[in-house]
This record gives sequence, structure tokens and C-alpha cells, in this order.
Amino acid sequence: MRPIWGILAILLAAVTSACGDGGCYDNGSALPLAQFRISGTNTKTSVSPVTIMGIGAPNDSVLIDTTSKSEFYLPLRATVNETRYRISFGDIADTITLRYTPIPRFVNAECGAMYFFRLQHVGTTTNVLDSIAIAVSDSMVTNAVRPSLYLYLTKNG
Amino acid sequence: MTRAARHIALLALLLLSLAAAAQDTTATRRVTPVRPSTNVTLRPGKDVSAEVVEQYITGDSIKLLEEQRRDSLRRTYTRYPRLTDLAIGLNFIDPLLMAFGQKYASVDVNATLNMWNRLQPTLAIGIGWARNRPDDMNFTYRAKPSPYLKIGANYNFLFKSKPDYQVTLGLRLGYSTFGYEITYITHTNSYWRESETYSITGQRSHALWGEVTAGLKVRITGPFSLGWNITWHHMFTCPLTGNSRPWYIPGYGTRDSALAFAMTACYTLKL
Repeated sequence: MRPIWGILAILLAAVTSACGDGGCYDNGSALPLAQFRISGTNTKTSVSPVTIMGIGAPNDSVLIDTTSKSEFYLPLRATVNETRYRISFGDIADTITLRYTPIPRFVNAECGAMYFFRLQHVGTTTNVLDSIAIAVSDSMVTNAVRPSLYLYLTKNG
Repeated sequence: MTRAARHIALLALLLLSLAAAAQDTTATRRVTPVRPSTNVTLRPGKDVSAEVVEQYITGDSIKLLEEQRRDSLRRTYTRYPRLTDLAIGLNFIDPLLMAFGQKYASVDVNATLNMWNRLQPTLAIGIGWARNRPDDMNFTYRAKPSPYLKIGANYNFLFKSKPDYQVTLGLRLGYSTFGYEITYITHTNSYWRESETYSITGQRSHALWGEVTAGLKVRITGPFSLGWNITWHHMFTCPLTGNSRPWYIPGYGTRDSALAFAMTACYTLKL
């Protein structure tokens, strides 16, 4: 009977090592995380002050209004294929435009079902911002905690 | 008597003594082993052959002990035929657990051929289904009744005993092809104040997995027995298809579970 205990011990070790697959360690919805970067050096930077609001948002509600910010989430509209945001840096503002295709996706029982977004076009005005770029190679905005957009600022901006 | 004559006489006396001692050892000896604490006579073991027992009663008990020692090196347990029996089982634990809140079930009929009461090839064919709307989540998951197949073998560690009681360790390979859908998905965007309900339908996938299973089987009455199995399983392949990753796999359980439990009612046919 002794081999049984050895095999059961191996099984127990395998089971304990296999545990922990469950649980939602990512976001509960797919939101593009935008990050400010310095053009040329491609290093992460903070901007102050910054105010962000969606163009066409109900009651012109402000999404972010803070003294300093280096990255932020931009919720996309799932009922249309385009979302626009106005980013104000004090008195000067830029408008960014995101075009995408919403894709219904069931992630797992813990994270649930949500829309992923395949980015097709991103654009910006260039008053303060230098450019905007998609940060993910597959252009897919998922619920993973990772930057999806880079907002480049000029070095002296 | 001279000194030399005395030496010869002593030598002759010594030789005579040795001859007498040798004659004693060739006589039949009777040694009855007893347990010192109780003074109970020790009998040969239950698996000792009838010839050896006869010799124990009538023959040389010293020689018998040597024979028993040699005999203990040989296999004395019952040897079962190559085709010992065939057990037809029904795994029914999941429908019972559904009554207590489990959201999925797999039911299978399995056939296990007992060979030499030791090696047991087995085949299971079953159906699995699921319906789940987790608390605080935004979807309903529904797996349509879909088939699965498991093939493998057990090793019975109690092969020396009667087949009525078995402790087994087994390996399985499982496969299922199945369909499912996720419905009543609610999407709410608080910033844009949008709300929508949609579904992801027509999803299909397949899965191949391996299992290591430890089991206990006990005869209840006549040819009927009950079996309990605990299984550790590992997914080999279950591709992401379409817009989803399956949550439930028929015959396997939930995608992220490492363990499964089965309870089987068996009918055994002697072969």
C-alpha cells in the first residue's frame, strides 16, 4: 500500500500547484489606458494641470480634473464606433479621436462578459500634444492592465 | 596403559560421542511453536497450501518451518483469471449536487473490464450541461447538453483480495466537443450613461484532457457496488473560439478546476 501514499502526495502537490487559476486579476471591463510620454525619448511623464472630458458626454461631465497625471483610463462608447475626448492643459486644449470596432467577449466567470475594442484609427490635434499612438501590437483594447495609447508631448511642451 | 594408548582411547570416545549426536539429528523432531505470552499453539498461515499443513501435523516440524520460509517467497494468493469480471457503472453525483446549488452536471455510463483483478481498462460515455448566472455578475452561461468520452485504465492495489473491495489508481484521456452561449449580458457605462443587453451565441469548442484518479469500490449487495473517485485533471487543449473562452467542459467540470469527484453505482458481471 505504500506506493499509494507516495502517489497521493505527488497528486496533492500537483493540485496545490494547479490552484489559483480562478479569480479576475484584470479589470472588470475593457478600458484603454492612456499614458503621457515625451516625444523623442519615449519616457513616461506627468502633466499638470490636466482636465479631461468626453465630447458629447451627458451634462458635459468631467472625467478627470487633477493637478498632475501621468496615465488615465478613457471609457469608450460601445453603442457607436467613435469616441472623442478633450484634454485641457490649463488654457490650451487638444482633442483626441478614437475609432474602433466593439467586440463582445466572454473572458471568464470571474471577470465576466464585456466589450473589447479593436482600434482602427487614433488622431489628435497638436496644440500641446505632439502625436498619439496605439501602444498594443494587436490594436486590441482588452481588460488587461496595460497601456493601450501613448500621448506624446514635445520635450519643451 | 601407555600415554599413546590413553590418547587413542580418548579419541575413540570422542568419535563415538559425535556419532551418537549425529544419529539424534536424523530422527523425526517434534517442535510445537507456541506464543509465549498466551501459550497458544501457532498454526500455519491461512494461505499455506494443504500439503504444508499436513506436513505440519504429521511430519517434521523443523523441516516444515524451513518449507514455510521457502513458501513465503512464493505467491500464495488467489490468482484471478485474465477476464475476472465486467462492471457497468453510472456516475450520478453531479445531478445530486445540482440539487444543492451546483450549476453544472456530467453523467456518464462506464464499462470497466477487470483483468487478473489487477488491471482494469475502462471506457466512459456521458453527457454534460450547465446553466449559471453568478451573483454580482453580468451574464448567464448556458452549456447545451453535449457528449464526452473517457478512456483509460485502473490498477487495483488490492489484487490479492476478493474483487469485492478495490483500491485503484487510474489514468484517463478525455475528449468532448460542445456548444454553449452567454446570454443576458448587461453592459453599463456610467460615464457615458449607456446601458445595453446583448448575447454571445453559437459558440463551439472542443477539449482534450488527462486525468489521474484515485478510487475506492465496495460491494454493497449481490452484484451491486458503489465506487468513489477523486480526480486531478489537466487540460491539454481547449482553444479559444470566437468571442469566448469556455467556462464549463462536459466531463471535465469548470475550466479552472483542478479536482473533480465522482460517485458511481456499479453492476458487476462475472466472466
